[in-house]
Amino acid sequence: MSKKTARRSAFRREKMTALDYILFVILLGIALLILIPFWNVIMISFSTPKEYADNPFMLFPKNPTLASYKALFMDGSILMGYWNTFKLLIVGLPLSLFLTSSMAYGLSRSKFPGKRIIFFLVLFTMIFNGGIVPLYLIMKSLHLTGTLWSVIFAGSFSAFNMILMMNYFYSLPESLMESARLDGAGEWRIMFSVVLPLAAPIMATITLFYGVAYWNSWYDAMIFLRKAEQLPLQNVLRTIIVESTTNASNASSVSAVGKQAFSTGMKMAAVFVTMVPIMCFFPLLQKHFAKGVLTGAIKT
Amino acid sequence: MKADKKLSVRSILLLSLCLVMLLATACSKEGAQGGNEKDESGNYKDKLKISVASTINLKDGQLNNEFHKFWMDKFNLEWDYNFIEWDSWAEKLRLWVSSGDLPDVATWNYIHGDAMNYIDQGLLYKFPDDWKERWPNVATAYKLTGLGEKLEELKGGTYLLPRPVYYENKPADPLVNQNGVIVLRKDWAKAVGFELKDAYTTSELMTFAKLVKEKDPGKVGANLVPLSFNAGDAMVNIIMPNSEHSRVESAFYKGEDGKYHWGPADPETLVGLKLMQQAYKEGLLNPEFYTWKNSEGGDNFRVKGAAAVAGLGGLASFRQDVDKDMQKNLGVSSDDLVHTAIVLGDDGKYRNLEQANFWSALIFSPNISKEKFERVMDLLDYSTSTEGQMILNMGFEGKDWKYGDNKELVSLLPEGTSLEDKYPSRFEGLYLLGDDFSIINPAIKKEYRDRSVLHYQNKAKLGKEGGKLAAYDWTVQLHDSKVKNQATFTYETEYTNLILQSGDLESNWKKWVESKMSLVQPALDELNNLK
Repeated sequence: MSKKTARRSAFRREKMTALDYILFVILLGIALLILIPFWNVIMISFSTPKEYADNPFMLFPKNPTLASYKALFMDGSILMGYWNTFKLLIVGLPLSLFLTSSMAYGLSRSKFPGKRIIFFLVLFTMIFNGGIVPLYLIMKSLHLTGTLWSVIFAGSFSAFNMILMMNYFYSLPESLMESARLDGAGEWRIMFSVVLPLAAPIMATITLFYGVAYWNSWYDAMIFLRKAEQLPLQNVLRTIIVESTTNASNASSVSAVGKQAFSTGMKMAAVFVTMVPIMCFFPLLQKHFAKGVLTGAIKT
Repeated sequence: MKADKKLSVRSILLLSLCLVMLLATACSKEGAQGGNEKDESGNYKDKLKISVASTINLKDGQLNNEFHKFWMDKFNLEWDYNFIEWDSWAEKLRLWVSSGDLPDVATWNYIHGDAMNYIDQGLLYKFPDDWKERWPNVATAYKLTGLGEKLEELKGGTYLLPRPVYYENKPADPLVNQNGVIVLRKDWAKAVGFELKDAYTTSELMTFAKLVKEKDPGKVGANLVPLSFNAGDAMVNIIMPNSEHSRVESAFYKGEDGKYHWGPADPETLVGLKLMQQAYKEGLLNPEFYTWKNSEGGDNFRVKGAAAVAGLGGLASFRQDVDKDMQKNLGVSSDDLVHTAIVLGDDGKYRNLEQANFWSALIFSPNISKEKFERVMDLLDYSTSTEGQMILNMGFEGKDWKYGDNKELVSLLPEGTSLEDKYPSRFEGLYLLGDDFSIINPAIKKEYRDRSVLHYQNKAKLGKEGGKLAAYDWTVQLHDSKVKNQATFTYETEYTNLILQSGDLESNWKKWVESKMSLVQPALDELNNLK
């Protein structure tokens, strides 16, 4: 045994106490409690209805099948859903970041007339909202109902995210902005060239928040959109699942009866399909995420 | 000074212009884009763009197929189709109606209280007084719904079209709810010496279930579920056959004394509960039957092949689905294995609910132009005719179907394909529901259709001859109030909780009835005091 290896194993022996082993087992148990249902969801999505009926809790299907995925992707509406969600993200995310960061920057600067009132008005929308009918009427009067713009605008600004960002901006030294101002930079220039490059953690966090919100959003789309080909992914999945699970025995008309399909399998396939992209996206921002939340949450 | 004057004159002119434009915008109704005059060959001269909303998922490009083109060409119109997701139907329509943004015509999951409010607020289009003479097919089908005329009595005009479930192919009179048909394993019944009949009492079914449990003729072993009912199925197939007022649809009813009563408090409901508890205690129901959702009860029968009895429902298409599922999952034809029957109460009487002949409604935007309304009504009238129904449900004669030697309908579609595959999303059947044609539709096996009609007829016959059918009480159904809504319970859950409780069922049931009376009594008082 080399000296190095011996030292390393001695170090391990020193470090690993009985309590460590107990904690390891407990944490492993908790991890399994989280992972096994998740694994089960994936496996059900690859199983046949018969196999699921025989054994709903399975670690591996005996006769794996792609039938649930085929049924899910069959008519092309899922791909259309992905495309619409992608459009929402591509247009909505930069818009949201721009609106949020510019307002957060403005409100984080030194006192100016009306600052408190503006902040109060923003805060007010976080606590009370006007309800869906006034929002719908506004979109209608702007002739935006039935277009993706209504969904983008409805979700383009979050008071919570703005406050989080504003608190982060407070933490930046005022002298930086003053120096830039002395060099002749205007407020937009200061924001884009000085403040935002220093705000990567909070930008990553807020990007993730908005990204997840756009990805998961279905209510605004349900309210404002009118064509099947406009619906984002979540609404398409909802439609497919609802159509496959409508309970025939309670229907009073054949019109109310859904299509025959392995509904649980389709549900699980839908969960998997929806989760994968966001799971791929999360690790890229994870390193900034915790830092951003922590810094933004504490006013310095 | 001069400049100021000029400025103020300009401002006033500009302001006036703005006001005129505003007024013009505000006062302009959706203008007619054309008339309904026809040319020499009887075709409409002007094309109209009509917005329509329904729950049928019409995808991009599907309007280009031959079927949709036929309807658009025949009525010279262009559809602006709006899709409503099934689970947001009520919410979306409420929003559209309330904000004055309703498409020209829409299917609506009728809610009586909302209908009354909408009509009072002028949010729905009022039909012209002579509409029944102008569109006779629609008027005849409308009359069969019952609801239309009741609403006319209440509101003094027609504001919506309830959609008829049955029209020319009504399977029986009175029309009884399709629920309350079970499937049982024919081969197992023969193996255990159980007689096959069209109707069984609840105890007879339980006897069969016990025999299957003892002898296990299918060699299913531990997975065997003698009565594969979820909580809803158990209520429909055990409690309802013994108490016709045990369900939410008929819980409030007018008794022989002329006063309203609450069915779940009737001793008949207790009889049903006792049978259900007995089935549970004897292991005929699955120990966890109350956790099953949607089709889980039926799946034991059709997917797993491990159940002796399961709930089905009375539509022939349901039976066809069982056949498809058994072929797909068990690799067997269901015809030799499955028997369907209706369930009687333990006293041999048949109980169920009379069914109103409507499901959902058609509503029109109050801003729809006269021309568009008339064009849509022309389409509805044609779609309700025999010719229209054939096109809607069978496609085009000579191409998709033909009459056989005995004048029966023969499909010309390639084996294994359906009309939905060829012409997807046929939303033009806006008015009359597909149930009516399903009775004669050759896409459903004739044996299944005949059996379905037989059950409807037996229900009607047994219900009339000594049975107890809960009448469709228009007073209760059309009464909408907070008090009544508060006294509405999920009975399948309530009944399941009762049979699972420890202690004496009868005293538990009495306590339960007592606990509910604080909510039920005000509803009864309200109904009894209605003029």
